[in-house]
Amino acid sequence: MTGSGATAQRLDPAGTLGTHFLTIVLVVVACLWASIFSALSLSRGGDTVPALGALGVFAIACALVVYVSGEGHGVFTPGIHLTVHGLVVASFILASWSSWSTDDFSRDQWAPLSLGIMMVAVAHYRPARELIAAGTASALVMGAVTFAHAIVVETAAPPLALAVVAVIGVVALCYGAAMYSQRTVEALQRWHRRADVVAEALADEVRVGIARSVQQDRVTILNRDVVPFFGDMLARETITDDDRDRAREIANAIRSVMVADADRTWLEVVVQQAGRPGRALIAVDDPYFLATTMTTAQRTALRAHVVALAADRKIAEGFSIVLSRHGRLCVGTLSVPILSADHARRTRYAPIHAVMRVAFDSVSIQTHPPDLIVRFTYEHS
Amino acid sequence: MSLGLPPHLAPRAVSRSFISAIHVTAVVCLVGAMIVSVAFQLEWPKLIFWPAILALVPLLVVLYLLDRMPTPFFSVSYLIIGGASVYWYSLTFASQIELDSFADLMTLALPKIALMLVGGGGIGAAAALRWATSGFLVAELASFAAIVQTSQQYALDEISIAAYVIMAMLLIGSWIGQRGTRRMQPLLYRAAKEELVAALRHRMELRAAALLHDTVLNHLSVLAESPPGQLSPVLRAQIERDLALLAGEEWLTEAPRADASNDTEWHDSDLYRAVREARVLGLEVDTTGDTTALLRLEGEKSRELALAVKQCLVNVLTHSGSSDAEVVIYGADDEVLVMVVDTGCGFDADAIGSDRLGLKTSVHQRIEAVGGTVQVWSTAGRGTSIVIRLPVGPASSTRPIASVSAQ
Repeated sequence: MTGSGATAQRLDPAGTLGTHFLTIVLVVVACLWASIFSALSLSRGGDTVPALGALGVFAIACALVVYVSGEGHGVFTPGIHLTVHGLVVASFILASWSSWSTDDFSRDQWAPLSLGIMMVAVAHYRPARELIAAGTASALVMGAVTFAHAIVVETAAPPLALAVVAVIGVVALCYGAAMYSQRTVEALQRWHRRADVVAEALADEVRVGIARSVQQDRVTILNRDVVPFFGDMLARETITDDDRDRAREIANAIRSVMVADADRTWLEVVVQQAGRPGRALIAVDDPYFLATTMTTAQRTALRAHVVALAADRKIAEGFSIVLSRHGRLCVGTLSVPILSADHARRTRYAPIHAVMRVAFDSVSIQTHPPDLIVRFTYEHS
Repeated sequence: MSLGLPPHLAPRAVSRSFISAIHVTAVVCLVGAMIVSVAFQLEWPKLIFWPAILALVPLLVVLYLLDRMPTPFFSVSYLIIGGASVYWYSLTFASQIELDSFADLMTLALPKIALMLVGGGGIGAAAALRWATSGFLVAELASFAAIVQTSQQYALDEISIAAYVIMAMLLIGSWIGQRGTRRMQPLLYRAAKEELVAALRHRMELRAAALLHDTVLNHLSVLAESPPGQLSPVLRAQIERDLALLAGEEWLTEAPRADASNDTEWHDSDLYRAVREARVLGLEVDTTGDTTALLRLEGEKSRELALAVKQCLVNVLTHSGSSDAEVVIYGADDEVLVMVVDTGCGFDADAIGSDRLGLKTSVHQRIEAVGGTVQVWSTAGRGTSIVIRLPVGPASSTRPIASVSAQ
C-alpha cells in the first residue's frame, strides 16, 4: 500500500501492536473526561436520560476502538473509523439535548475533545486523509449545533467564538493525529525504500555463491554418471543396445532427482532447516503445494513464525503445519503443543501474529490446551 | 513486506512524528484563538481585541521556524517569544472583559496550550515531557502576570492543566507501550533476508532444471531412442557441448546485469524494448547475460525473438501470479539462447487449452518460423522457464517443438 491510503498499522503491524496500550490509556482518559463533564452537566440541571444515553453511546465507541485495535483483531478498517465518528457525534447530539436549556451549554460539551483524544488513539491505524476528512465533518456538525444553540439562547459571548471553542479540541487533535499518521507512514516508506536497496545489494552479493552452490549440487550428480558415460560415447563413437539402456537409466535417475526437488516446497526446506537436533521434525502436510502460492510477505511472516516456534524450548514435539484448500481459498493451520500451561506464548508471538494479520486475509489464534492453534487463510493465485 | 522500523531508528522516527503532530495541534489552537479574537472584535467593535490577534503572529512565526529546525535554540526562542505573546494576548482579553465564563477561559487557554506543545529538541518521552512542562509553566506565569496586572482574580486554568495531563499520559503511555514490542523485529528481518535468498536459489534451481532438461536429459533421451550404430555428427556435437557446459566454471553464474551496462547496442535492441514495455505494464524484469550475443541475430530473428519474449512476459504478468521475471541471454557459437524464468504458479504445458493462443502462436510458431525452437519447463505451483533457441545465421527450416512439463 502506498500514498495517502497507507497506514502505520499496515506498514509496521508489529510496532503498532505496542501502541495498543496507549490506545487504552487515551480511551480511558476520554471516558473520564466524558464522565466528569456529564456529571457536572447533570449537577447543573441537565436532562438525565439523554445525558446517560450520550455516555452509553460514547462507551460503545470506546469499547469498539479498544477491541479493534487489540492483538486479537485484524486491520482497523475505514468502516470502523467512521462508525466511531458516527457514535461520538450521536453522543454529542444526545449530550447537547441534555444541556440545551442550561446556560453552561458550551462548558458541558465533552464530546468534541473526547473524540479528538480518541482520534489520537487511532492515528496509527488510519491514514491522514481519512482522519482529516472525518474529523472535519464531525467538527462541522458539532460547530453547527453549538452555533445554533448560542443564537437560540442568546449567549453573552459571540456565537462564532463559542462554536470555535467547542470544536477546537476535535479539530486540533484530529489534525495532529493526521500529521502523526502521515509522518509515521513517510518514515516507514522511507525505510522500506532503503531496505529494498539493501536487499538488492544483498541479492547481488549472494547471487554468485548461490549459483555455484546450485551448480555444485547438479554437477555432483552429473559427474558421477553422465560425464563418464558421455566421455565413453565420444571415445567409441558408436551406440550399442547397452548404451541405449544406460542412457535411459541415467535420464530416469536424473529426472527422479529433479522431480524430488520440485516436490519439496520452500516450507519443507524451512522446517528442515529450523528443526532442532534430537527432536522430531515439524510435520508439514501440503499435498497441493499450496505453500508455493503464497506471496513473499506471506512466506516471510510464516517463515518467521515457524523459525521462532522451532527455537522455542517451551514448545513440545508434535508441532504440525497443515495447508488445505477450499476452492481458491487456502487454509493453513499451525498446531503448536506448548509445554506446561504457558499461555504467555500467545502474547510472546503477538508481534508475528500482527504481521501475519496484515499479510494473510484472516488469522485466528486459539488456545486449546495444550495446543496453540494458529489458523490463517489466503486466496491462491 | 510489513517489517517496520528497526529498533535503532524507531525512537527518532516516533519523536519526529510526534513533534510534527503537536506542532499542527499548536497551529490549530493559535488559528482558533485568532478566529475567536476576530469574533469578539466583531461582536463588540468598540472594545479592543485586535492586539490579541497581533500577539499570536510572532508565536506562529517562531512555531514555523521551530518545526523546520527543531533545535534547542528555536525551542527556547519559542518559549520566550511565546511567553510574551501569551502575556500580550491575556492582557488584551483581561483588560476588555470580565473573565467569568467558560468560553472566556477557553479563549485564554488556547495560546497557552499552543505554548505547551513546543516539542523541542531531543528524542524520547522524557525530553518531550520536559519541554511540555516548561511550556506549561511559562504560559501560566505569563497569563498570571497579565491577569493580575488588570486587577482581575487569577484562578488556575483547569483547561490548560487538563491538556497538560493528557499530554503527559500520551507520552508515558507511548513510552510504556513501545517497550518490548520490537523484540521480534530481528527475527522478522532475518526471515525477510532468508526469503530473499530462498527466492534467488529457487530461481537458480529453475534455471538449472531448464538447462539440464534442455541439454543433458534431452540428449540422453535422443541416445536412448537412437538405433544402434555410428554416433551421428550432430549428436556428437551436442554431447561435446554438454560436456563443455558441465566442465565450465560459470555454468549458472550470472553475467553482470544487462541493464547495469552502458551498452548502447543492448539499449537499442528489440529485446530491450520488449523488456521495457513489460516493465511499463508493471512487471519487474531482471535481465542478465551476454547481451552482445543478440548482435549476431539478423533483423527478422531479432524482432521475432523480442515479440516472443514480450508474449512470455505478458503471460507471466497475466497468468503466473508473480510480479517479477528474469530474462537470461546466453550466446553459443552457433546459436543464441534466451530464457524467460518466473517463480509464479506454473502450469501443465501439455494441458494448455486451444484458446490459449499466446504461447502457441506468439511464441512457438513465431520462433519456429525463423528456424528456432521453444522449450517450456513448468511445474504447477513451482514456476516456469521458457527456453528460446535461435540459430545464428540466415533463417532455416522449422524444427519440431519440444514442450515438456515436469508433472
